[in-house]
This record gives sequence, C-alpha cells and structure tokens, in this order.
Amino acid sequence: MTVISVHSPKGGSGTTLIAARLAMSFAGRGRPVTLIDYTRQDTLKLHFGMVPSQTIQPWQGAEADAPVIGGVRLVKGYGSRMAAEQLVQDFSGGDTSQLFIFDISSSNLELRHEISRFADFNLCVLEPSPADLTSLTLLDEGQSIRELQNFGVVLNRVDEQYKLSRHCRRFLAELLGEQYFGIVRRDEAVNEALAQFEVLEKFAPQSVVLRDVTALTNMIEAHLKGEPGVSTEGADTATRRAV
Amino acid sequence: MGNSFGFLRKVMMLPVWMLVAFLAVMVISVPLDFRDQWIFGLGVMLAAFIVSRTKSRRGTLVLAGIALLVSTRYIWWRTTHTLEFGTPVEFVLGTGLYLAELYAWLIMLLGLIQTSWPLHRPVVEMKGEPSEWPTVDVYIPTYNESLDIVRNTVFAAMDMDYPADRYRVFILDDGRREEFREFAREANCGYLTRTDNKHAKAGNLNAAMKKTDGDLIVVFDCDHVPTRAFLQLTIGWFQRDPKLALLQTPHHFYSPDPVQRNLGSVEDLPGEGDLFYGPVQSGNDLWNATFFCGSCAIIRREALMQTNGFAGETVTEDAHTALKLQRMGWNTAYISARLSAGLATERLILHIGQRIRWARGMTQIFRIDNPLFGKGLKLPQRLCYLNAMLHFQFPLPRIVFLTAPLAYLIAGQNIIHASAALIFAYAVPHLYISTLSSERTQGGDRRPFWGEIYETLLAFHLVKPTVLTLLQPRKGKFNVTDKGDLLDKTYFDLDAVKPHMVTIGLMIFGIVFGTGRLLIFSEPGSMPIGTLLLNIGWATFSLIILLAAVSVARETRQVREHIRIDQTLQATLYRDDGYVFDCSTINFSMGGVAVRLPEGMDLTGHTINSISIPMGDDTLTVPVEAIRTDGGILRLRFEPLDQLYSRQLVRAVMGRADAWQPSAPREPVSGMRSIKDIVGVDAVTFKRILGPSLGRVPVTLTAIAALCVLAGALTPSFAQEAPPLRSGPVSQDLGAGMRQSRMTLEDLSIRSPIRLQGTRAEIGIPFGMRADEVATKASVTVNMAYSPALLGDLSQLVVMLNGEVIQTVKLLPDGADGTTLELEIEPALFLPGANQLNFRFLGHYAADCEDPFHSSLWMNISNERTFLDVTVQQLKFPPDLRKLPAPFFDEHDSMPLNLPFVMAARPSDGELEAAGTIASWLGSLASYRGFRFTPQSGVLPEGNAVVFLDAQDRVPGIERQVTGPEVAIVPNPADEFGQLLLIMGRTDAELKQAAAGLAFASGFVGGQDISMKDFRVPAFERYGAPRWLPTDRKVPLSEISEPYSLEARGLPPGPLSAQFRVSPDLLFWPGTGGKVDMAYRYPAAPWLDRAASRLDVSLNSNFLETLPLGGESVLNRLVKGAQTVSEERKAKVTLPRYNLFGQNELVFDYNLILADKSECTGMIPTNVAVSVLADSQIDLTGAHHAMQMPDLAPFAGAGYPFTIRPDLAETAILMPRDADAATIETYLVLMGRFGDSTGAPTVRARVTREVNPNRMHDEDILVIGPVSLGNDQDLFHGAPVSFAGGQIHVPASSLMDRVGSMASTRKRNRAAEANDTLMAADEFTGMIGFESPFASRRSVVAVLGSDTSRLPGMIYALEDIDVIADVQGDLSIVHGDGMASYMIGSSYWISDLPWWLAFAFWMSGRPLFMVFSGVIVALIVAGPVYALLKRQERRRLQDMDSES
Repeated sequence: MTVISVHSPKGGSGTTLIAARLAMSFAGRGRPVTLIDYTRQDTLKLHFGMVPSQTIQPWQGAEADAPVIGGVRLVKGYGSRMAAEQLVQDFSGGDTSQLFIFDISSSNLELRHEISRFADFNLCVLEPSPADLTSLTLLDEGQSIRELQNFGVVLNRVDEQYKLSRHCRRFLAELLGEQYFGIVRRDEAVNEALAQFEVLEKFAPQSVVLRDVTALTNMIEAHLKGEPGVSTEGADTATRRAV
Repeated sequence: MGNSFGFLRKVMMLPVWMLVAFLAVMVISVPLDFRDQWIFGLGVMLAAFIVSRTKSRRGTLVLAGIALLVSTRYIWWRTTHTLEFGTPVEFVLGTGLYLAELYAWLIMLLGLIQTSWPLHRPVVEMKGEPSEWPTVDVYIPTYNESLDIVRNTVFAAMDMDYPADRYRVFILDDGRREEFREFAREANCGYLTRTDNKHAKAGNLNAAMKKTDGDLIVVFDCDHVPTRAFLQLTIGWFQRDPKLALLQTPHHFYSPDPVQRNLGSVEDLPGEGDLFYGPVQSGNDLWNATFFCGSCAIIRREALMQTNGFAGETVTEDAHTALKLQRMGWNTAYISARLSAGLATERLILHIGQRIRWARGMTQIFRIDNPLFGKGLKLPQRLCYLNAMLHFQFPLPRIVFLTAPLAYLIAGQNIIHASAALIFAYAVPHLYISTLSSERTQGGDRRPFWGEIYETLLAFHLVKPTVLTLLQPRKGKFNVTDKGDLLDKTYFDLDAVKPHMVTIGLMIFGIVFGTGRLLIFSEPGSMPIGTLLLNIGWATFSLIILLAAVSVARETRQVREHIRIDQTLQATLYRDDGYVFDCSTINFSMGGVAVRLPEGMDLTGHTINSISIPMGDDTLTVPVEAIRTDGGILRLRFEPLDQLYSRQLVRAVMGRADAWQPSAPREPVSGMRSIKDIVGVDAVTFKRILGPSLGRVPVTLTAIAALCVLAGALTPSFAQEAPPLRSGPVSQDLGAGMRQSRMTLEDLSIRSPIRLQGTRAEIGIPFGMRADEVATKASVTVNMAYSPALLGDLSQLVVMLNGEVIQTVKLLPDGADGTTLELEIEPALFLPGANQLNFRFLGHYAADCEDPFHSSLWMNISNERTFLDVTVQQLKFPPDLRKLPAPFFDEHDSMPLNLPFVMAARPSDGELEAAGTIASWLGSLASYRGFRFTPQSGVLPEGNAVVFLDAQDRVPGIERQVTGPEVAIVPNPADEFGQLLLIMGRTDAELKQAAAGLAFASGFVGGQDISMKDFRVPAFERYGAPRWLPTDRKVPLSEISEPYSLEARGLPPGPLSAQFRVSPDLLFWPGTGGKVDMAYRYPAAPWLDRAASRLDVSLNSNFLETLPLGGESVLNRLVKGAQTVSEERKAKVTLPRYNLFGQNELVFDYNLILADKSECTGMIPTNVAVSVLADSQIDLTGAHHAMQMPDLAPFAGAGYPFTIRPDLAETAILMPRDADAATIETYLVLMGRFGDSTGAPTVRARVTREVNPNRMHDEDILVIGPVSLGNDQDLFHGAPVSFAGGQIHVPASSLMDRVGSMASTRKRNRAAEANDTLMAADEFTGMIGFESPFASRRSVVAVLGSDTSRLPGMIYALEDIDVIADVQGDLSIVHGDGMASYMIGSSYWISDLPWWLAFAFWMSGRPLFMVFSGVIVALIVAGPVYALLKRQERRRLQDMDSES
C-alpha cells in the first residue's frame, strides 16, 4: 500500500493534471491505483474523458461502486464523511500493491498535513512563476522545505521559449538538489484535449506532457524503492564517465 | 636467485630459439616447385584464415607472423629466382618493379611493428584542487581563414570546462586582420599578431609563446572545434607524467573528405584519416613515438623551451617538433577519444595540395633529421618515425605497381623471370595473407583496397615533391590548406586526374594490344597464355583502382552553407498553436537542423516556432523557421542568432563531450565486399564516361576470353621416341690374318633410317679402319625406298667413299617401293683411320619448273639393312711401345674390343687389382664400342692379349725374367699377327705399379719394354673423374667435343651434338638444373624465314627449348636494306636435373625454313653453314652431390658410388677365394665400365676375399661372385633379400616394413612382387644394393648369380640403354630379356650437402610440413612477442601510476 499526495501551495498550478497523469501512468504500469479527489472543483474527471454532466458522488461508504477508468478508481474525497486515512484503509483491503494518490486543494493545508503523516511521498507542484516560488516558502511554517522527508517538487507548465521558465528551472534544480523532480512542460494540447473531453493519450499522443510524466513516474518509483534519484538529463555526465 | 634462475631459463631456451630461427629461415628460403608451392600456399592461406577467425590479440600476432613469413618468402623468391633479365629494358623495368616490391615489404614490416598492438590509453581524472591545476594557453593560429570558421572554434574553446582563471584562449592572427581584433575584443579572448610571417605556422606559434606563460600550450587549427571536455580529459596525463611533453588527440572531421563526398554511393566509408588516428597513432603510443599533428594537441611549455619552440626548418613543423622533443628524452602520448572536430579539405585539388605539403615535409625530415640516426631515440621509436617518413615515399612504387603489366602487354618484356603459374603460386598466398593481416590490424578504419585508391589518387602528384625533396630537402615553401569552401556546381576536376586518365588509356590499350598481338602474331603452341592472363588480370586490377581514383575527381555540388553533423538527440518542438512535442534530430549545422517527426504528427497549416536542444544538464531553445517537410523529416532553419545564441549553439552541437564518439567501432568489411563497392564506383563512372554506348564491351571481352581458352587447348605435347635396339657389328675370322666384318649403318651410330629430301640432299657417315689392317675386298649394300613420282632419268643416288664416287644409281620408278643394291667398292679407297661414306640424293619430279621442297622429293635409306662388308688383311708390325694403345686398341676400329687377359689360374689379389687397372684403362679407351676381357690361364690365345707375369707365374712360350715393375710388348708366339702386352712385377705391388704406369702413361718413346719403377701413381679428389664435368667452373663445349661436331652444313644441316658425362648424383637444388650458356651462329639472309626457323635444343632425346632465329631489327633492315649477314645470338638453356644422367648427349637441331617456297622461283641456298660456338659453356656450378640410396641405376650407368673416387680408393671388391673365370671376367668388365665412366684407371681398388669390418668401415663394398657369398651374415644382414636356406627371398620383416615406409616420398615399395619373381625363378642372376653394415652412408653392391657364368652376360647387356634403364631400386634381377627392378629395403642418403641444406632439401619435398613449420614458428614467436608488447603496454600506462 503506497500513498502519494499531490499538492501545490498556490492554486492553479496544475495539481489535478499531475495527479491524474501520475495515476494513469502508474496504472499503465500494472498497479491498482485509486485516485482520491479532495478538491472542490471536480475537474479531475475531465482528465479521464468524462463530460461535465457526469458527476462522481462524494464517497460515503460502500453504498456505491467507485467508477474505474483506464485502471484508475476515481473516488471523491471532498465532501466525504470519512477521514482520509479511513478511506485508505477501506479501499486497500489489505492489498499492499494498492497505490493511493490524493489530489489536494491548495488551500487545504490541514489536509495536506494530515495526509503527509502517512503518505509515502508528497509531491509539490509549482509553476515557473515568481508567485509560485514565493508560495513555496509558506508550505510548512517554521520548517524549511529542504528538511522535509519524502518530499519532491515538480515544475509544471514549463515553456523553455521563455527566459523565466528556463531560469526558474535552473534555480529550482540548484536549490532543491535531490528534492527536484524535474519538469512537466506546458503543452496547449492538454487544454484542447480537456475541451474536447478526450484523454490526452488519444488526443495528442506526441505531447511532451506524456513523456515528462513518464520521467516523473520513474523518479517517484525510484524514490519509493529507496533508490537514489535518477536524473534523465544526466546522460552527458554519464557518458563522460564512460570515456 | 630469481635472476640466476631466469638466466638459466634463457640459456635453456637458446636451442629452442635457434631451432625456431632455423625453421623460419627454412620456411622463407626453401624453394618449391609449382605444385608444392601451391600446396604450401593453400595450406598457409587456410591456416591464416583459421587464425584470423580468432579475435584475440595473440591471434593478431600469430597472423602477423604468418604474413611476415609468407611475404618474406615471396620477396626471397623474387630476389633469388626472378631477377634475370634478357634485355636492358627488362632490366630497368624489372628492377623498378622489384624495388617497388621491396619497398612494400619494408613498409609492411614496419607497419606490423607499429600497429600490431595499439595502446588504448584511457583518460585519467584531474588531481588536486582546481586552483592548482596547470595553467593552459589555447592557441588558435589563423592566416587567411574566414572569421565564420574561426568564430566557432573560439567560442568552443572558451566554453571548455576548466577553471576560467587557469586558461586563456588566443587567436594568433598571421593575417593581421582588423575584424579578427574586433571579434576578439567582443568575445573577450586574446588576440596576438606579429609583424612578419617567418616560418609560417611554426613561427606564429613561437612568437605567441614568447607573449604568454601558461604551463601547457594547446593548439587548435582554426577549424578544429574542441568539445567542452577537452582539457578535463587530457590534462590529467600531464599531471601524472612529468616527462610527458605532448599529448595528441585525433583530428576528427565532421565534414566528409573528398573521397567520402564524391563517392557518396559507398555507404559508411571510413575517412582517410581514420586509419592514422586509429591503429597507427595508438600503435605509435605503445612505443612512445606518437607525433604531433599540428592541432588538437597539448604541449608542455617546459619541453618546448628546450627545443627552442616549434621546429621551423621543414614544412611539417608538427612531426619534426615531436621528433625533436623525443630526442631530448621527453615522452609523447595519444588519446584516441575524439575531443574535437574539424573540417576536412573540401575539394580534391586542395586535398592533393595538403598531401604534397605533408609528403614534402616528411621527406625533408627524412633527409635533414633522419630518425634512424642521431641521439636520444630508442629503436622502436626510430622505426615508428621511419615508417611515417617512408610512408610518403609511396608515389613511385605505387605507379610502378599500377603500370607494371604494361611492360609485357605493350613492350612484350618479361619483367619477372618466372612462369605465370609460378608467379601466381608465390604471389597469391603473399597477397592474400598480408591483406588478411592488415585487415586485422586496420579493422574497420580502412577498408581493403581503399589504401590503394588513396595512394593512387595522390601518387602522380607526389612524385615530384618527394623525389625533388629527397634530392634537395631545403627547397620549397609552406602553403596553407584551404578549407570550408563552397562549390556551387558539380564539375569534373580533370586537372587533378589527368595522369590517371592517361594511365587508364594506356592500360586499356595495353590489354587490347597485348591480347591482339598474341592472338595474331605468335605461333599457336608457343603462346604464353598464362603470362598474358596474369598481366591482363593485373592490368584489370590497376584499372579498377585507377577508375575509382578518377571517380573522386567528380566534385559533387555542395549547397549547404554549413556542414551538417549527424547527431541523434532528443529535441522538443514548439508549434505555433502551443502544441509541444518531442522529436529526434537527424543532423545539425550551424544554420539549421533536420528532425524526424513523431509518427502521425501532421504539421499542415502550422508552423514551428522554436526548438529545444538538450545541452548537458541544460537545454538550448532557439527560434526556428521550418523550410520543408518530406517523409516525416522536417528541416528547420535557425533564425539569425546573436553572439550569445550562436555561442550556445556551438556549445550544444559541437561542445558535448560525446559529440563525436562513435557509438561502436566500425565493422570491418571483407575484401570481397570492398572490391564490390569499388567496382560499383567504377561502373557509375564508366557509365558517365561512356553514356549509352555501354553494353557492347562484355561481348568483346567474352570473345577474347573464348579465344584465350581455345589457344590454351592447342598447347603441344612432346612425345618421346624410344631409341632403337642395337646389336653391334659382326666380325668373322677367316684365318691367316684375314678377317671379314659387316657393319650396318646402325653400328656406325646412325640411329634412325636416313631420310633425304629436296632436290639435293646428302648425308655423310664416318667410320674407321684399324691402322694394322688393309681392306682387300669391300662392298656396300644399300636398302632404300623413294618417291615413285621421281623422274628416273634425272633423279639419282650417288654413293661415295672418302669423296670418291662408288656408283651413281638412277632412281627408276619401278624400284621405288624398295630396292636393295650391292655395290662393290674398290678396296684402295679405304684409308687407315677415319673414313666417310656419303649418300647424295638428287631428286627431280618435273623437267623444268619445280618446287625444291616438293613433298614428292624424298628417299629413305634403311639404317639397319644397309651395311658395309669389308674383308681385311692384318699386317705385321714390330712391337712398338710408341704405338700404344695400338695394336691392342685402335681408335679407328669399328669393332668391339675383345682382348683376352692371361693370368694365373688362381690369381692373387694384387694380380686381379692390376688386371682391373688395365681393364679400366682399356675400357675408358674403347668406351661406347664395347669391350670384352676374357681371363685365361695356362695357354696363350690367338691374336692380341694382355699377359700378367709375376716371379712365380710361368706362361708357356714366354721366357722372361721379371726384374721389377715392367711393361713390354712382344710378338705372340701363338699367332704371327698377334702381339702380347706383358705386365710384369715380382710382387703384387710391382705388378700393380706396372699396370698403373701403363694406364696413366702417355707417349712412350718406343722400344719393346719399359720399367715403371719410378712411376708415381697420381691421386684423385672425390668426384675428380676426368670425364665428369667439374662443378666448380663452367666448361666450354670446346673441351668436351670436337669442333666439327658443333658445325653443320647444308639444308637441313642436321643435328649438332655434344656428349658429356656428369656425376650421377648432381643436385642443383635449390636451382632446377645445370645451364648451357650458349651462343649460336647462323646466316640471316632473305631466303630464311626468320619467324618460322628455329633451333631446338634437346638433352638425351628430351626436348628442352626452342630458340629463335630472328634477324636484324626492322629498323636496321629499313636503313640498310636486306643483307645477308651471319647472325649471332646468345641463350641460356636449363638442363633439368631429371634429364641429366651419368652420360648425356646435348643435341642442337637447326630447323631452317625457306622464306619463299613458291614453284620455279625458289632459290635454294647451297652450302649453308650453322654452328654452335665452341665457347658456349655448360654451367654446372653450384651443384651439390646428393643421392638417395640404394639405387642401382647410377651403379649400372656410372659405377656409382664406387667411382666417386675415380681410382676406387675407397672401394673393397669382395670375390670368392676360388673365383672362377666368369667371376673374374665380370670383375674385369665392371672395371672397364668404371674406367669408361670416369676416364681414370681403377688403380686403388682393393680386391679382397674376406669380410673384414675393421678395414671395410670406410669403404664401399662391391661383391662379385656366386650367391653363396650372401651367406655371410655380417655383411648381408642389411640386404633387402635373404639368402637363408639357399633360397633367395624377401624377408618377412621387409614385407611388414612396407606399411611404415609408405609415408616416405620414394616411390612405392614392391617387396611382395619382388618376392613372387624370386620364388618363381629357379636361379638368380642380379644385383643387390644396400647400406654397408660397417659404416653409415657407405654402400654395398652385390653382383651375384647362382650360376656365375651368367654374370658377364648381365654386365655386357648393360651396353644396351634399354636394359640399363630397367636397372634401379635396390634389387635388379635378370628377367627374360631385360632386368626387373624392385625397391624393397630402407633408404639412406649419400651427400656432401651441409646439414642445413640437406634439411632444406628434405623439406622441399614436404610442403605440408613447411606449412606446419611456418605456423609453429608464428605460434611460438607470438608468445614472447605478446609478453613483450603486454609488458610494454603496462610500462606505458603503469609507469605513470607509480610516479603519481
């Protein structure tokens, strides 16, 4: 049983996208994944190709089956009477291979705290913007994020055509070291896919987002297994060693 | 302790190494005949192929060893066997080719030393704090290159990963250009310039050195863009090895070189430099002989200060600087990682220009500062440098190789003196294995045969620079290689390949001309088709290479402003609608990039805004503009970049550490695949040249090939004719001194029926008359047949004796079928001494106009049924010593010599020895006429006789007191016409003294008796027989034959002959036989058809060679007009060993053909004379003596091995104590034969009656007598037959031995068959040969008979050459009319060969053993060489560890 929380200190950074893509990515690797939506917006379903009119009811017990799409069981946690930990217990049924991913609203810092107590990994999603970087300092009051355990930052919506994007990336990479979990680049195809109620894989199979999330999944998997972070961009250094 | 043990081991290994060295010398030098050489060649080729399948370094060394052996063998053969030239032109051309091959061999040898173990030097980490790393000055010298090129290099250099405060980049601008100064300021790098351009690049660098102060100096040519890792990956070695002066890295070219570019059809062709920057420099590194290549290298300032900077004396300052550094004891090193990349020369003509500079520079160094001499270098270093310098001497040899076949095809010169088949047999293994070996060391860096193309491309242009520089090393100036030029249209650079085109033209002409000349002009049969094929094959190969070289001159258009660099990287594309996706790049240039779009990506209606390229741990995103898409490949152009961007682009594209590393080493390509590629290139070029007219060529080629095959089938074979039997003249005694004899023409040495042709033909038959006889009655009986078409009234046969006409016979048609005429001869016409019987044929078939060579003009005279009957009356002369050997032997006697020997009834040993001496003396005189010596005792025979008298013997009728060694002639009391030759002595010794004195003496003063007391018997050397041609000097024909026998007159002139004898055991090996250096003379007149006339040389009826009777050259004839002159020519004819016997006849047969044979106009020349000049020489020098024994053939022919000492000084003759007359007669006749063979009397033969091992241990033993002698087990236990139980048979053990001896090279044993023959016969008469039981290499020959009376008959029968031919092996039995021979026992050698030559000879019969030896030598030598190289590698890499 593995628990991953996805959260951003600043709203609108794309946590839902990251959580949804991560869930699909893990499911694609054969793991049973339960994605628990703790946001009010209820936009998670869009990433799975559902239309706005289809709603998922807040989970209230075993009265109704949660929908499973693409190997991911979608559960609405927001508005549920059950505590997050209870949810995990209920669903796992003792199956340790189960993976739970929490999409946590940026404003709900308490929930983040609560989940981080039992989460195996906490992913913080940022955008390359000054506001996001600033918000990072307020994540855990009184504690430097550098000291957080099982914590990683992914930079979302990076566009290397822009100077700030490039610089943020370089800055974060240097600042965070092992806690830096790479980037997910901005691709307009993501938005268009949502607008068309289509899954990204079908709509834009070449999207860089897919590739980047795969890389992110690799890093998280490695982290969960206790391996040192594998940088996908370190080929240059690796080769140099080999020469 | 360990040391002394090591020393001991070395001493113990010494014999092994000597053996290996000996075997190696054998494998290299032992010559083989055509067949065995092919066996050897195929064997080593197979072995080499198997070795080449193994991938280990040891395998490489073994292969190199085999290659070296086989190639050295080839060169050795070329040196010792093929450098014989007939004309000055052949000499010049042939020597040129030989020198070229020698050069190639030397380069191969040096190459093996250099490249068999490339050192793979790893990169090492930098040590210590970055603030303590050495300071580095990066020099980028430039003279006239464009800033666009220099800019990239400067950017990349400034972006290298190294502490910024510890290195600086300088532009060294010899062009003194303002824009460069400006750029340097903007880019913030150093800019240095100077006022003059002295010493070009070296001067530029030296000037800069004075202005900077870094510990290390890095030089980049202005187009060599370094990767960021360059310094980090190289400088570590300078920290490790304080004596390291220079570290070179490869020059990698990211643009294709002219060959790669212009021959784009060949896939993935390695660059020309890949070989040098692969195995060669790595190999140099092993020996600490890496040299500086002008760029991409790091040099220690401290070392450079000692050599006063970069060397400026030569135009290749780089290599010379390295050489100077190494002479000072500094080390150099090479790292084969591609850490920078540059532009290859763009155009062929520039490429050639650059190579001219290199070739000149290297030649300059070779002359000015030869690495072989001077101080400071170790031997391997000298050799590595030498190879680099010699490499550039390839132009002349390459041109020679290309054009060599023209010498034969156009000029008809044979520049390799050997048959084409043999050349193939030697050259194919050499070429195959050396190719295999170089493929192995060169790997995928140089494909097979491409080296030839590169060299061919340059060869013609480099001749002048290399040769002139070799002569005048200090002339010439530096020229800069232009790079990076653009070519706006495809064109053919004819100037660059004009010489190649001319050569191609010559080659094609040569092939057509050579083939045509051979087909049209040469007689069928004498056509050297093999030579033609060899030369055509060779020329075709040259053509293939030349065409490929020419193909390079077609300069392909180059439109790209920037060179594309193939790089596969993950990149990201930004579409204008915000879509972002990944793609992979295909290639980059500084102007744009091509990417492969992901599948299903459609860009219709969209554009691409930007591309992101990964760059280390960063990415570079630049705005782009899409140019076009096709097939999923999108080409993008970078928008104009500012300096920052372009700097980053350089960094992204060219700066990555792994930018140039090949993903895997290039796969080696097989020779076949390579030649296929090259032929493909040729075909394209050929098509371009010929256009649509192609397609007819193959038809012509097929026709030529078919004709060649046809001509080959016409090669004649030479049948041998068996010589006829000979019965000998018959003589009948009529009493009272009257004698009648009948001699057939055959008895007078006419061996075949006489054939007379033409209108006038004549033959003269010489014969002799004894001086003490006169003819009283004579007649000649002629048996003849002639053409029935002859006109009876005009055609005649004229029979003449000594010039006088006996009778003229009209040749009437009714007698044409066969007529026998008996013509009385006036006895007075006979002369004492030499006489001659002539038959002259005058033939006519028409009354007026007739063709003198009409086929109906012939007549035949039988040689067997035409005879002379002569009745003679003997004359009485007083005894006179002066006339000796007459009357006992008269040289003009046509009858066989028949002389009784009167001896004691039981002659003593000494008496027999004396008789043997006389018999051999007379035998040598009577020679071919035959002789019989019948021993008698008690009574005196009629006629002449030899009488032996000692103190005790008394012969009735001779009253004479023996007083000492004495010889006398007295009248025969028993016959008034007879005389007796008395040999007298009181003791055996005196008797022998008397006999020897007689045998050796010449020119007695006269009188009846003479004492031989004071005579000293001369000694003979081994092989000193007077009649055997000496092997220590050439013998002129005048010494061995009469002058008249070397001259002939008439048409046809008839054969000329010369007889000679040689030791039967001559071994010419490693040569093939003796030689005749002959000169011959004949009239060269207009009536002679020069092309058809010939001189045939044969030896012992075996045809050897046809010599031409050419006339004056066409030119001379034009100038002087046709003149009748005597023409003299020289020729060398080989006398093959297998045709040489103890007795030989060399026949020169002139075949003169008339030029004009048409009817009525023919003018038959009369009295035509031809000759072989008497100073022609028989050359047996260099022959050794060696014979595999037992062999009865040389015994029967020449008394071998006893006659090795012609006086039989090492011979014991064993006879029974009570030898009967037949045994003694056998003995005498044998001695006569020995004397005949050697020309020397057997004065030192020892006759004995008992087997005495002590005396016999240094003697050859001749046993004569009854078979009971064979019961002596001491002597006969080694014989091939057993005498046990009175029945002669082959012992069972010998039958068993057969299996074991099957492996020997001798012909199969026939023990069982021999046994059958022996068992079937109830008696035995025969000869047995075997090795002496008392001494090795000594022989026993036993002449035994169960009935001794049959023994003389067996020996007399040997006069017949057919019988003698049957005697061989170790057992020869009288069987029917002839002899049956068998080889049963074991064999042994008698030879005077030195042991090594004996071994070599032994080896020459065993090509597979030679293959085995070669492989073993290579395997054994590879071991220590492997260890040596491994140790050297460790030393080169570890050495430095220990110092760190």
